Amino acid sequence: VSVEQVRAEIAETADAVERAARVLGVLHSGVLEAAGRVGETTRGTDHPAVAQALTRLAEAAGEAREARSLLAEGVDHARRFAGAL
Amino acid sequence: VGDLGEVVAALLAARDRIGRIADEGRASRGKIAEAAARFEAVIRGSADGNVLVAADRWRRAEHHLDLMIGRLLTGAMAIDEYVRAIAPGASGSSDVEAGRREQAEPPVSGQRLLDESQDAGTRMDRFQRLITAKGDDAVDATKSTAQAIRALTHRDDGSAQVAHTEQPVFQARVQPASVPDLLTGVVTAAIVGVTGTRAFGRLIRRLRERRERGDDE
Repeated sequence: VSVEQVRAEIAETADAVERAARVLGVLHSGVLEAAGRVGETTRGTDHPAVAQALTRLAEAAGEAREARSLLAEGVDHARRFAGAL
Repeated sequence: VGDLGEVVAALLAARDRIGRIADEGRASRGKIAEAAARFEAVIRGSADGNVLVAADRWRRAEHHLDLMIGRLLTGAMAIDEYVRAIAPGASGSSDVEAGRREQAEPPVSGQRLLDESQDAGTRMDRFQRLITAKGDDAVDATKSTAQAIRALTHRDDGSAQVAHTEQPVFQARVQPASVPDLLTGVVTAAIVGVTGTRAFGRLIRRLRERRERGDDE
């Protein structure tokens, strides 16, 4: 396997991960939007299920943000490696 | 949103939207896992710092995506629990039906979402339009159904207003049977029919599977 092939393979992989990270950004916004809608619809309600739903959705948004950040960091390092070959 | 039917419709639409987001997250996770495995195959044996960091970050991202999906499923179940509390029988469809619909209607791919968002307009606008259309349809249909029923029963005096979010919604459960209760039941049935809760059956089934495997949270 030539260096060029490895470089191309890594570039392709990094692009795929970058696309997934961008999708995650959209999903993160979608979770926040859904949580906002649930909060607005249930305003004034103190049912424990509502609190549970809002908490879990907020946590889900946090996980999405963290995953996206990690993906982007990994992409940077992968490209740095490919560039140094 | 003051009418119980509208509240239920909005919550079911949000729940279904969350289910679709979980589907998208699962699809993205698969792509990331595939890319990470491919990357590790290409750089096998390398001790380069950048390589190790990249592989580590992608694997950790997969873990966070798993957590995200788990949180979404739990959140969706909590929404459903609340809907059942304020309008018993208004949520969910059988797992069998959901499974059939799942086979017939594969989830929208993340790549398609992304491509569409880049064509024109903002990504958020596109995304919201795509995944809320179904819920909005449900709300519109519910309003139409409620209006039609009110007209038929000649009770257009507001008596169908059975619950408000600013007030204890459980009042709707303990009130004696009446025309508003009948309306609520019919409207609720309409909501269930329109929203097509395909995602919920899958959510429940997957959560059960996760719990059985003992790896949920």
